[in-house]
Amino acid sequence: MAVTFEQVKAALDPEEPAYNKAAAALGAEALPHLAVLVAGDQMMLASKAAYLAGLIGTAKAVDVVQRAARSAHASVRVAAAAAAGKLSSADSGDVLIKLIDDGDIGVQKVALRAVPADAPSGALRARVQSLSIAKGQAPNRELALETMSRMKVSVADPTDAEPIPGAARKRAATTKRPAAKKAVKRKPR
Amino acid sequence: MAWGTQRNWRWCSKCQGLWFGGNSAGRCPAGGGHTKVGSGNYSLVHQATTAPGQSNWRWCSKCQGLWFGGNPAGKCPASGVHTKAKSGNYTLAHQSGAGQANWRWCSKCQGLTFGGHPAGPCPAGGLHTKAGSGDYRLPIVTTRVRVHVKILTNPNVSLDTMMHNMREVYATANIDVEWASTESLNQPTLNDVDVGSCNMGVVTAEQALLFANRNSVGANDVVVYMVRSTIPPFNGCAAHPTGRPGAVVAQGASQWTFAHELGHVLGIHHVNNNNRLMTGNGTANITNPPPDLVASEVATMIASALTVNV
Repeated sequence: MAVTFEQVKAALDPEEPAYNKAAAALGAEALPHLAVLVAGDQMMLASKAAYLAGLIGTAKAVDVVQRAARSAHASVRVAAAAAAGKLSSADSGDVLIKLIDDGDIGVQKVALRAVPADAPSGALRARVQSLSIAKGQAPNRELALETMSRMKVSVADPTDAEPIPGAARKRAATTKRPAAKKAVKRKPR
Repeated sequence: MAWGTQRNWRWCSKCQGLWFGGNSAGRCPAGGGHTKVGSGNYSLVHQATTAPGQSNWRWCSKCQGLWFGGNPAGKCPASGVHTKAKSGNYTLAHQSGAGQANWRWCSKCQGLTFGGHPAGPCPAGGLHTKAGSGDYRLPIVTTRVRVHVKILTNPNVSLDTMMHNMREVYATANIDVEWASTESLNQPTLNDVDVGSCNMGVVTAEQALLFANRNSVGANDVVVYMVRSTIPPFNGCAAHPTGRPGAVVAQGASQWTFAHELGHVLGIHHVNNNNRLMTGNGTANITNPPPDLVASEVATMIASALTVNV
């Protein structure tokens, strides 16, 4: 039997939805309804719908999450970033690139946390790296550094960095702060 | 803080009037001072700017009675007419709301009297009258919970409405909700707070950081943090660190979420019934506002260390 809009909304209405249970029960048939909710004017439901789409995680779910990533409401984009963290590494790259570039601190924070350790996108890695060497008091710079470390990428590496093999990984993790300072110093030249 | 609450207002069985029992017994139109024998402990909202109800009710420092200051002062049993000097501005629930109904305005003396018994003596002569009066509701309280609000993002439903709704529902359990303080927090990295699975007793590093903000908060006081969003997206989450009772409420929460999350903090759980505050189907679907608390829930709330006898 087809999943109805009312069923989807009923799963998202609670103060604290049971997302995993809802994803298992509703599955991909919920996605058209989730797309409607993401595009709707109820911010709370739009956020919940975006997150549930991430847990469902099919190709169509990626479209729903991308739509949420374009929302005018920052809290819906925050949910899109959290949802991207539930997508496969291959599917999350484009959404996360957009959200890491978001001017909102909260969106950026959640997007950085959602970057998978095995992110295959060179462009995504470059975005994280550019944040990690940002000048001044960039609020998420520390988090970008942690993300680089999680991806086992040295901040001193070229922007299209590849994972560092062997012992160099340990060095990158333990010496990331000095490396970041060097990178900052090199930039003006 | 948008408004405060004041307890120790009492019904006088001699004159049927409402008077403040925190000072002397004042002057009763039936003779002598007022009595609080047989009275409950009434809690009034004062200094409200936007709380629902009728404002401009005043305390008369001469007779200790409550009277309506929106008209010329009525006759005071102590002498002359009532005074509003040194009084706060009290707001009474009017025509709707929780609490004891049938409190009436007397157009002769401007006082508030209980209309559920035969009329008492009026200082303006004869007996009080309820002609032309609305039906005022006064909550009788036996315990209180003190709530502090820390704002990172203002909610879409006004804080006044959320607090008023909580006060109204909790009044049915004779619990007085004290709005103890309001503080803005400038912590943008916690404005979208990771609440993990939102299970009681389990908190994330971000929740631990957020709940460490307890300026001016007593040990058994509750703090509600108004945030932009939670991760994952919830209307609110009542999981809190040990010894730091509180909850987070998201910007897009419903008008009942605040009271619902505080219900969790006081120990009550979800039910499958949209007539009740603790519905697990979403408080936006509540069908008979104000929502109910059942006896077992009230007992649990009263047993919480966070509700203190008054």
